Amino acid sequence: MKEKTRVEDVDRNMYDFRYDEEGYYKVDKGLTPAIIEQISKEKNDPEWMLQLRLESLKIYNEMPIPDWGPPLDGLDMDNIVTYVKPNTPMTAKWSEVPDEIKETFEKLGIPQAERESLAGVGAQYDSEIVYHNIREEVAAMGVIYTDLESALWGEYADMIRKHFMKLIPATDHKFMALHGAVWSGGSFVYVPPGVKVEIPLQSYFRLNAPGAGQFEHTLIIVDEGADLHFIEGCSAPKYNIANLHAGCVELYVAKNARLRYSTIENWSKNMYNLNTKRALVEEGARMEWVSGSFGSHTGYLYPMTILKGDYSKCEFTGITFAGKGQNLDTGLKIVHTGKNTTSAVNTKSISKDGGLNTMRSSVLVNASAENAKSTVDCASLMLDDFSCSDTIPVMDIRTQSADIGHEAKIGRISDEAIFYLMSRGIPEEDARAMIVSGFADNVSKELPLEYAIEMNNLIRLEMVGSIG
Amino acid sequence: MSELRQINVDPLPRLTWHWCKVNDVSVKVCDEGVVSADLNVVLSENVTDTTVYTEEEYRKLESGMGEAFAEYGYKVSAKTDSFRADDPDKEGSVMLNLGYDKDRWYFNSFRLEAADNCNMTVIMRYKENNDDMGSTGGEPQFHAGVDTRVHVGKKAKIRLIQIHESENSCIYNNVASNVEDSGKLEIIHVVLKGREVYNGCISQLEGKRSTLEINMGYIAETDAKIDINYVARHIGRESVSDILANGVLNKGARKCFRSTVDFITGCPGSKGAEKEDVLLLDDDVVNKTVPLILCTEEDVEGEHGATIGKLSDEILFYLNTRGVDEKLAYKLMSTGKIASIVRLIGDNEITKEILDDLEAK
Repeated sequence: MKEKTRVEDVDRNMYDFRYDEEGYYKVDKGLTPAIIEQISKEKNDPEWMLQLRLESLKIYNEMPIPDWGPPLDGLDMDNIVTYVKPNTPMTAKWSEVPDEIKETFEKLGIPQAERESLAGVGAQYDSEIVYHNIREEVAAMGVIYTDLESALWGEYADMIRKHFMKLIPATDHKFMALHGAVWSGGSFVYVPPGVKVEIPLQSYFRLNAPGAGQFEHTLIIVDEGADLHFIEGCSAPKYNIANLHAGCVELYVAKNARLRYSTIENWSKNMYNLNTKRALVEEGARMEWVSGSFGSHTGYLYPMTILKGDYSKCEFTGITFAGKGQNLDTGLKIVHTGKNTTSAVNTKSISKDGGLNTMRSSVLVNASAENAKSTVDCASLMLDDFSCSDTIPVMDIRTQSADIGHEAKIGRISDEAIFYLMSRGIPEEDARAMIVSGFADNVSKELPLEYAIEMNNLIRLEMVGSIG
Repeated sequence: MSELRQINVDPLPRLTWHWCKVNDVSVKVCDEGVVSADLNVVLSENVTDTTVYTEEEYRKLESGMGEAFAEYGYKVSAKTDSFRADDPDKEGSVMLNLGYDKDRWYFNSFRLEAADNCNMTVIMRYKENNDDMGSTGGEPQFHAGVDTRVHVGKKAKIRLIQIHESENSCIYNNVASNVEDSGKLEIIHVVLKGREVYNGCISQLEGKRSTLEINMGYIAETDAKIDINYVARHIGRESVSDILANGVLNKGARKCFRSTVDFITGCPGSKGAEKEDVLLLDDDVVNKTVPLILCTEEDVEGEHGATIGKLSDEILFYLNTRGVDEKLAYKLMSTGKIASIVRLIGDNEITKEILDDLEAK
């Protein structure tokens, strides 16, 4: 059962390598106004950004820790380093990236993927983007794909200021406030009206430093009638101390545009992944989320879609795999505001080896959303009796013309299916992995081939040792 | 009358985002001057009427409306009326008519028990003593708490039917129950009228092959408020739960329906299903549906389904082809939704009375 692809060797070890941060610039552990000012100075922020950071810190200090999600007791902000700058400037040539960083991304297959199947790549190492490049022909169409820091001072500075943390303000929740205070890195994408980017762009985030946080900000604007597929990948080596990821993704999808945002999240199992994503979708536009969550010790992840424009649409396809030591609280939020808006959600979750899985969702249909339609389908698979799988959906419907359907199911792998496959000579462990891969098929079929194979390999890896 | 205070009731077994405003609901209660409702009791011969009920027994069961409400009930309730069926050869029946007057605070406590192999049907009707309260909408004209503790023995069955028929009421209706091996608790809950209804029920399915079946039908109109919290807790092996709610919201009514199927480790072979079907007749209504499935057991099957909103185009088209216009189609389907639950009551006289009332509406 070997796939002849460049990701056939996917292995936890692939992510579990690290390099020393000798010569890297770091701020002190903890959160103080002085540290925020230090980060801001180091990043050469405009004044408004410094003020936003300081205001966010104030909000962070005033807001409570969430009491409804997985415990965050192991996350001590006094012991987190919020800014680690690699000893290299950003470049558009892999040859100029320092060897150990280049080696990191080569092991992760990023340069090869760029050559073979991507329109552009951004690579972040700890707190800063170290590589950013876009194919000439894509750039020639007017597509902007750059690091956010550069964009803050360039031609698109006003656009950044107009949109940055406007869709998700610091007041949204405590860790969004934290993000506002210490954000660093991330990408800015602008796709001009009518431009269709045929192959995906990808940003890859690598957190190397132990006890550090990564707070990248991704801002994507897909203008009227344009089309983009953006892929986000992330990983980190495993440490014995907590790491934190509190990124932010703001997506603006203009009239009749389409944006697909795909994520394969494979953070190490000491990571607190408290990421926030939100899309604002205008008239006739379409937002598609494809999400695979496999890593992290603790996860809070609920991409939100606001269907503001009439006839706007959202599709959400996601899978979460929680194994030993993981408490993954994932899901989505959808707000229907425009008339004749449509949302379709299909999620799967798998719990194994004591993993805790919570599928949390909210579908809000406002009174203005006449003839809104929403279908939500959640399926959960339990692979043993000491794991946990909870489904917590909320539907809030405020117009009589809505048409809302919701289905959720939970169950186990059927003994009959295992028996059938074993009777065909397939070992039990492989049979289980095949069934689980099939269960995850809704997500893998939505991903580009290379990523689908990687995802299936991840599932297979998670399944190793599941028998006996 | 003493001052009112607030408590939170109908707690969701697992919290979610606070901005959804579904984790619980805040209500006002009164600690002093609380009286029992006028109670008309009709018992069959084989049902024992006893009032002995210890604090320990009271506290043994978890409350659907939450511990704050249970504490409140224990504090203000004057006594507990207990009814026990203990003749395996005859089905017991209890009819409890609770009557209310305006400007009062009420609380009644009941304990229902079916001994091993015994069956009992209990019908509780919440009504106004006089019709001088009118039907004005607006604030409730009286508040009534009802706490019902239910124990279903081995191979026993209790049918608990609770019918809300008071236009001007605010009713706090709490059910706490446990079911032993092969026992069955069937609850039929019909909300025909009321300004505010808070209804919580937890059933602990402790016994092997124990069963909970809840069928709820409601109509909420004219800014009425309905808040529900059903929990089926599967503890015993091969236990079964089935929760169904059919409802209609109109003219600014607000409803929050929480239902939870909770599979605890050690309940292999269990099955739980919850379904809600809500027809919305007005753009000013607020419908919240929160169906949880909690699971720490591998070998179980849980499912949830909900349909919310307007009548499907297929049904409308079908009725149109039969000469039924849209307005009449909605009336027929609204009445039909509740009628399907009312017909489960099993008492022909009461069923006819309610259906006639629905038809007249």
